[in-house]
Amino acid sequence: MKYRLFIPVLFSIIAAANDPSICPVTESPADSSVFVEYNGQKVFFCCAGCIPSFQEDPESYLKTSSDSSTVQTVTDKPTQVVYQIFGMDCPGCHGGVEKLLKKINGIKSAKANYLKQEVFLVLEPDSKLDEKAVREAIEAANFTMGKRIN
Amino acid sequence: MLFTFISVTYAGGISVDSGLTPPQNRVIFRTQARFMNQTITNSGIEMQMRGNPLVLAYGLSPKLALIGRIIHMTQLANSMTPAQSGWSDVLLLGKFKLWRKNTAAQTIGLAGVIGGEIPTGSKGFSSNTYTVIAGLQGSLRRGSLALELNLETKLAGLFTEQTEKEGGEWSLNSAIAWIVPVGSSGSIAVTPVIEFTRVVNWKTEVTGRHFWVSPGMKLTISSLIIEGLFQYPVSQSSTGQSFKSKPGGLIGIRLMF
Repeated sequence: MKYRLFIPVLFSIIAAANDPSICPVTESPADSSVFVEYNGQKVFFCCAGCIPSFQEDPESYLKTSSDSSTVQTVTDKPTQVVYQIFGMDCPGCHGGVEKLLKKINGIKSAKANYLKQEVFLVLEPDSKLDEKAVREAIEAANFTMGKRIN
Repeated sequence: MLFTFISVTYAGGISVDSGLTPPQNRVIFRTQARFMNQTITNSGIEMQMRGNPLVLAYGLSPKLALIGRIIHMTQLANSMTPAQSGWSDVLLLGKFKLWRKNTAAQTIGLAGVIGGEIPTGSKGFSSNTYTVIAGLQGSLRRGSLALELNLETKLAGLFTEQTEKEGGEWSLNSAIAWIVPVGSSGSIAVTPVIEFTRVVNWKTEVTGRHFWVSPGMKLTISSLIIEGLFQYPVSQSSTGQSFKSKPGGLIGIRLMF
C-alpha cells in the first residue's frame, strides 16, 4: 500500500526536476537548451551557472523542488513558451520587455536573455497564450519578435 | 552667468544619449558625480566644479520618451570667489524614434531630440534665458560592438533682447563600446567604452573649440548600471575671455524600472 503512494510521489519528484519550465536551483524559468542528465532523466536549468550547484548535491535540489513551488507545477503544470527576440543589446534591456510581457493575461513570468536573443514565458495553468499581445508587448519595448522556438 | 558658459563647454559623458528609444512605460533614473576643472585663460584662476545631475526619463510610448534633468552644481572656493552651490536650469527633452531596425545580426536606430532649458536655476547658476536644443542620435549594435553618434545644437538667449545672453553650441559626440557578458546568464555585462567629443560654442565676442577623448567603463547588473569616465581635453582653442578645460571625469549610476 505504501508503495502505491510512494511511486506517484517519486514520479512527481522526477517530473518536477524534468519540468523544463522551472530551474530546480533558482526556481526561475528554465532554458530548454541547458540541462544535465541525472539518473537517466534530463534536468533543465535557467543557466549553465546553476549546473555546478546542482551537481554538488542533486538530491537536496530535487527534494527542495518537491517541497515547494515545483510540486505545484506538477499538479498545475504551466507551459513554457520561448520566442526569439531581436534588438536587445545588454542586460539592462531585459527588464523593460519583461515588465510589458508580465502584464499580459495568462503569463505567469517572463525572462529575457539578450545573449540568446530569447524570451522565456511561463504561462498560468490552462491559459491560452495571446500571441498577438506578445508581439505587441515586444514591439512596445522597441524590439522585434522572431519565431517561436517551442 | 559665468557658470552657465562653463556648463555648456564640457564633454557630454558616457553613453548619455542613444538612438535607441526606451521601452514604453520604462522609468529610468540616473545620477552622476561630475568633476570639472577649468582655468580662466586671461587670469589663470583655477576653477573646480562638481556637478550632480539628476535625470528622469519615461517611455511614454515606443516612439516617444520624455526626459527631465536638473543639476546640483558646486563651485569650490578659489582665489577670486568663495565656494557656492545651487541648482541649474531645468532641462526638458522629448526623444522620438525616427527609425529602428532589429535583426538577429544587428540593431540600428535613429532618434531625434528636441527640447530646451527653462531658467529656473539658482542665482549664479541660471542662464536667465531660454535655451532651445535639437539633436539627432544614431546607434548601431552588432554582436558585442556598440557605436553611437550624436549631433546636437543649442541656442541660448532666445526670447530676450539682452544680447549678452545670446550664444550657442554644437557638439558631435561619438562612442565605441564593447559589451562583454559576464557568465552565461546574460544578467551581467562589462562595457569598456571610449568617447570622442567635439564641441564648438560661441557667446558674445567669445568662441571656443574643444575636443575630448574619454575612456571609461560601464558595469551592467540587470537593471542597474554603474559607470565611470575619464575626460581628457585633447585640444582646445578660443578667442576672447574663455575657459581652458583640464582633465575631469564622472562616476554615476542608472536604475531602470
